[in-house]
Amino acid sequence: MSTILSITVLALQVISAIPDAQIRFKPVYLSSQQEAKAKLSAPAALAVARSGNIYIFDDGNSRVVKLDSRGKFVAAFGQAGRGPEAIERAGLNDSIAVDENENVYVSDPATPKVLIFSSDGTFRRSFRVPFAMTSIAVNSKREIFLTADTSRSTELIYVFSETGKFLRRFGERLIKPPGSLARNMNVAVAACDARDNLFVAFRSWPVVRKYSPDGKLISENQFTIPAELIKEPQRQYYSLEFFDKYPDSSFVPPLITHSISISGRGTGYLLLNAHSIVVFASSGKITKQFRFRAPRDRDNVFIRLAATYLLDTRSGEIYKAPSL
Amino acid sequence: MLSKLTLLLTASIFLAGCQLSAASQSGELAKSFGHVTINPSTGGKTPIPLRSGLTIVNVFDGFSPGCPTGNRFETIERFNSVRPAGSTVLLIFSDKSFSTQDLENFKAILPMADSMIQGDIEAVRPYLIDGKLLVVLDSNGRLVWQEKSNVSEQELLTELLQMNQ
Repeated sequence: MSTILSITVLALQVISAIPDAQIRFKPVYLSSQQEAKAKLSAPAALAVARSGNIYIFDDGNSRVVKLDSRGKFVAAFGQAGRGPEAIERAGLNDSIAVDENENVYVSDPATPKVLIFSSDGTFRRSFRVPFAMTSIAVNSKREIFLTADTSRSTELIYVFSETGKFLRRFGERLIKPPGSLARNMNVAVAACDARDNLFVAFRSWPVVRKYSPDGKLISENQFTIPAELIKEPQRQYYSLEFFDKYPDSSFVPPLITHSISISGRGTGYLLLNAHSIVVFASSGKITKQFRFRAPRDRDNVFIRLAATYLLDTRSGEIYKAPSL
Repeated sequence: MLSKLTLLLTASIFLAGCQLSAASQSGELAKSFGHVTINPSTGGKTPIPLRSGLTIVNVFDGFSPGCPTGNRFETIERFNSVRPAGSTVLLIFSDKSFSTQDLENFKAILPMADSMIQGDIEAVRPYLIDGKLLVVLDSNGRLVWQEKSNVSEQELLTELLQMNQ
């Protein structure tokens, strides 16, 4: 009963101005200052291991780059080309995850497949999946969670074992009828906490869901859409009812949740466009939302957040905030 | 007059040449499909099973589900839901690119599990378009239809449906 009560039913989204916060980002890794082998090219995503090591999916070079906790280049692994070990250019997806033993998981939505490497870069295996994915997460049992990018009327999350066996699927889509807009609206990103709960945020709808390890919905919480993203004439149409009615519309949702991550302490972070960060508690409840000035404050810069680490995908720079 | 006749003759030869070339290519492809084998669960490798009706065969070495022109699996599913009685659909996944586990996953995740099978598609690899190829074979293994490059999934479905009417 308490579970049912804790689920927030969203009738309308909230659009409002977001307060500014002063965050002092400290540089950890500046690609332009590295030697040739350590330079990043269009890095797409990063994951931080419990040891503090940082793993970057260096999309333009079809490889994974490993840094130590101080941002020193350690190794690069993975390669372009064909075959089970090859990584194709995956695009700017939340496409890397690290498990407790520091195995590294990369989702390649182009092929599409999942590749698994040991922390020293040894290729362990890959397996194919019949849909593109927008995010990858892994729990303590090394179960792999993929958010599916498909117009098919199906569940949101697909779970595979570390050996690549499909285990189960769960999660209700936001928009049920098929269509191109519905597909965009149902795109999600996911991350696991240390207790194997799964947090899912939709890319273009202001909601964070918390699922139990066996896939039961525990909570659904709403954050605020930054007012600058949606102008007045559009606001009246920005509703699930409208999207459900016109699932094949060419409307492009202006809100983008780029990434989701959970810190070791269980605090969750969403990075939205318009330089907005949403912080949520281990219950899934939203605790803070603020705008920040990125270290290189430019328009259209695409950034990722892994706990308090920030990746600027254009310059290949990584920064760390003392706290958020 | 003579120059017009020469032009006509040249054009005819050229067109005949094109047709001959296309027909020859189809013949080659049909012949190559004769070398495609499937790996049934009973073990061993067998040729593509042909029934009395048409057999719609899609071979896969890869696919791009996020492709803006559409998703091949969804095209086949849509076709399968309206396909004429007596026809068969077969989705053959290259055993060089897809493991047995991959195929088991696909069967568990996608509809049309009964139509999916692993196989050796090396003989038709040169003809693949973006890692896949859809053809229609008659009961004698003759090539009735094949997909062309630069065709959207919607156009492909329309052609497939018209051909099967």
